[in-house]
Amino acid sequence: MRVAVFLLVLLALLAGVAFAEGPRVEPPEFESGYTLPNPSDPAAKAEWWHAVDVALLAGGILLATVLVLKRRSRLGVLLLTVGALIYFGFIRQGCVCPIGAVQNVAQSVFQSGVGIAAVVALFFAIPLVTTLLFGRTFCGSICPLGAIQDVTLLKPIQVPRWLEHSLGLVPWVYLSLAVLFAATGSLYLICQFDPFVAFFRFAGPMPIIVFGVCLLALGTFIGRPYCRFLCPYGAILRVCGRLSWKRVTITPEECVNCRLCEDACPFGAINPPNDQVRRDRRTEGKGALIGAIIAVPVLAAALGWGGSMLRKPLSQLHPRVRLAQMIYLEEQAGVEGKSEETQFFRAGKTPVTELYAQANDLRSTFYWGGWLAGGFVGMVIGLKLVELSVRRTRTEYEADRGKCLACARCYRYCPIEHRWRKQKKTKETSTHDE
Amino acid sequence: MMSEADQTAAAPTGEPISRLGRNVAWSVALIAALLSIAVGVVLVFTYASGETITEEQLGSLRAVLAEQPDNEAVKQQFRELDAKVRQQYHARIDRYETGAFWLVIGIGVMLLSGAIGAELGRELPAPEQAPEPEPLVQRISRASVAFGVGLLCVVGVYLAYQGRTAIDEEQFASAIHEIEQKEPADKSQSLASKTGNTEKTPDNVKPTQPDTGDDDTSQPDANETPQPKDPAEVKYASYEEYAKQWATFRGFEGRAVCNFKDIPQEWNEETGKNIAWKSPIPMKGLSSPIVWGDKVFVTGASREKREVYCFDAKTGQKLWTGQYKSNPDAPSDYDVYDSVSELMHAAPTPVADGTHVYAMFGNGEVVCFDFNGKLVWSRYVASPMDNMYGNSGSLLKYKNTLIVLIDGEELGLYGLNGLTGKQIWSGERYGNTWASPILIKTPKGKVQVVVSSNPTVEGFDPNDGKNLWRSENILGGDVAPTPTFDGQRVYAAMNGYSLVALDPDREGKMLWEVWELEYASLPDATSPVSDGKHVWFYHAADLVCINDKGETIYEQEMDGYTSYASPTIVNGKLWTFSDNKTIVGTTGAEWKQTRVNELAKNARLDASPAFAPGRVFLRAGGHLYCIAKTEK
Repeated sequence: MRVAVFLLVLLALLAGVAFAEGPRVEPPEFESGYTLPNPSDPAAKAEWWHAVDVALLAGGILLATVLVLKRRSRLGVLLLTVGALIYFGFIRQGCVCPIGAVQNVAQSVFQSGVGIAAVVALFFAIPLVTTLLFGRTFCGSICPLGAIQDVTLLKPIQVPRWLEHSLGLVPWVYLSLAVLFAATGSLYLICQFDPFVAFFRFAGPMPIIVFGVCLLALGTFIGRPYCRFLCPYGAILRVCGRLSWKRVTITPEECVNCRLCEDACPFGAINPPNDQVRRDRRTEGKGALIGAIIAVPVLAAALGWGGSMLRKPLSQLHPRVRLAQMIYLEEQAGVEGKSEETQFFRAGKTPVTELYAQANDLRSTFYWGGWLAGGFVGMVIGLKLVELSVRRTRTEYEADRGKCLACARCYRYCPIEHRWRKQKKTKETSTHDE
Repeated sequence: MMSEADQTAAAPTGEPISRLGRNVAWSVALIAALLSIAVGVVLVFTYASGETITEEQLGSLRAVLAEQPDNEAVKQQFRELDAKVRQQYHARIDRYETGAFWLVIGIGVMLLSGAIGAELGRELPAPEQAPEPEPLVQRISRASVAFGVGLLCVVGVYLAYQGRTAIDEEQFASAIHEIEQKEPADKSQSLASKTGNTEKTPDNVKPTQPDTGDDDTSQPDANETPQPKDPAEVKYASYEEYAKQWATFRGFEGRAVCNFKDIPQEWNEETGKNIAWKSPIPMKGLSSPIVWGDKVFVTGASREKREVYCFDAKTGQKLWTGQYKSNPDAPSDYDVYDSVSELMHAAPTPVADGTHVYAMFGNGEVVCFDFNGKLVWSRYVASPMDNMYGNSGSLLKYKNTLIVLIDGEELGLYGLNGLTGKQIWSGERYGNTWASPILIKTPKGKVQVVVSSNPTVEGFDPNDGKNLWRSENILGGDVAPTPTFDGQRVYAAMNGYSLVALDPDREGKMLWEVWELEYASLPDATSPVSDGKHVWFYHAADLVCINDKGETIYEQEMDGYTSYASPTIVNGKLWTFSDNKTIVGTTGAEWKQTRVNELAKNARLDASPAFAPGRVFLRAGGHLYCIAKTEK
């Protein structure tokens, strides 16, 4: 297995080189008689393609739901995953995707005059709605980013549960930053640092490819590291999954606590029963719970204040603020046009004072945005502490509603599943014979 | 609940589903992996390997084409070579894309087979230890979350620390306020920018206060805040006025030809003959003196301190010492070459324009004083870092533009507003140099800044810094000899490469070159000099004369030249310098040494001489000498 992992890592690195963007050939230095074509923007994707994408997304999720909840078929899920990887990944090249759509939604909500395309809104909403109904079947079968990690998962090992809890907070930080930057019009953080889109497009900047390669290499033994510890949309879906109407059950009938499924989930989404905790010791965690409840507003306020204090470094990512700083420094140093941005600005008609005023307005936006983003992260961390101080009784092995990616891997470990399948087959055969 | 018997009956088999299938799948995966690695390695080599036709080949052909722009055969050859480069590039891209495609297929097969192998080799799980008790997991998880919060705070503090240097809201607000206060000035500025004049008003320049800690009594009043004049009121020295002065390094147009009257051709410090005066220069430097009217200027510096000195040309009295506070951005740890390290802090020669004197120092700072020693402005222009011998380009002045050459992190040629120090333009140079630029007026009347460097000699427009011409692949190595001009041709040289004569009116067309001498060598630090008929230069132990056709007239063995001072023609006599000696000889096709003038033994001549009518100024041994006819 070590050899396999080594080979995979080596291949991933070689693939990184293969996909890295190369230099472009320069135009000739002499008159050749050849007229260079005028550069033009590629034509927009036809509307019917959007309809196909949306239909395939919705249809794919529903099919995944049937395969996971009704047919309980791992093979079906696997084939669907490969199909989604090919279509949404390599054919559609990872765009539009619900993960990035978070930013479009944030920008359209917070910035006046910025709309959102119907296809983007649907890509954002459909997985949310279906997760509320049937659990995270989108993550398990349709998401191309999840699929590419799924097919490279060879020898899964379990991440300690305590580490899983703390690393599971990272997506919330990422989400709050992505929303902040999108809402202020700074950049689309999620898209810029999408680790796998370079593989789908066979081209991309080398640092991002290296990032993707590292995640895939890690993903050979830690199941879906991006989905679990980075994906901001996954964080939202985790909440939706907890509230879902239907959910994945490890066993089709009653659990016998045989423990065979204990390590079946490569994503750490199986919770063991905890009814062994003695009733007389159940009050022990009350202090921790009270402390955690108090920590929610305290953390929200502290991290909110911290976020507001970061307005200067965070606003550096906004192109307008950066430009204002460059112009300011040029003015102070008595030079002009040290960069293309400043040359372009100086060629225009916008007064410097207006630019400075815009930069100050944006700083103010980042001040309040920092409060909100930091406060939100603080609240999430506080609620996590509350969750970690509450004891719910489980009498059997359960798929964690939030974490379960509906991949159907755990079914085959369950002896009840095997008996159920056998009985089902017998029943079908007898019905057929009759 | 199921009975134990039921459980056993329903349990999945513990053995691998199929050993044969598993082994086949793993073998396929291994073969796919090895093939993919082979494809990947080929891709890496394709990625790393260069083209067989290189840019150098194109470059050399480009140089030939520049020389013979109308040669159709060369043009055709260039086109063919260029087409080959393109074909080669696209063939490489094709190989690359094909390889990437097969690599993806190979990885896909490997993953699929690996997954099948893993599935077929799956064994029954056998959990041994009971799961950790939930309270314990929760306790550790809370601690790890708390640790994560701490880590987040550390990252936040780091980001805040990194962002501390960003411009804050108050700075933007005060900048807005300042601009609004000066709105009328801005309006006139925007009008100026519409007419193509991009110079800034002087308001944003913050003149540096002079250092008041010095006890030099000759220092001018430092408490007065200098007020730059309105550019419209300033009258600049005309181009022709510079011909009457020795206001730059090697004089007018860098020609190093002096025709002032009554210049003494002999002196001796020991006997005192024609030594009019000798004054100490407080700080060291390699810069040469310059003269405007009755004022002689010279600079001196250490790593910590930089000064400009003004002497009375007639009496040798130090009239003032110009000091200023350094800009905190200017580096103090810039490179200086070991052998002359103490001197390189003040290597660039200053320039004067009749009302102001401008000086540059090793740290990339330029300073302007008026003729009364009052500081007008000082500026850190560009970084001299990464310049292994140190910043050495001398300054030039054209109209109100101060021309500054700094090689360091960038190959810089800048035009600064002489009144304010603000940058007006920046020229794009091609190669590095330790030579000074020269300002010339071509026979067709075009004023140009000429810079020699490795491997080019270039001409720039002093009005906007635009490159006018570029003669490539002429020089090489660490170019230090400053080019010279004889009114018709530009001469540039570097030891190990060539001496070239260029026509600045024909985009630097090379008229002839000398690259091989019998036993002498081309100069590596000192500059050539020409009287229009011959060119002279010296290096090591030889003095060489070349005629105006590029033919070597003589290679004269001398006692040995151990000086950085460059040859100069003074009233028809050729002056060369070695240690403390000035060797005077004949110009023309035959060398005849007529005189050796000596200063004190420790007075080594490393700076080129400056002249005023009847006077010679020499910097040697930490002193400024004035040579003039005396009674002695």
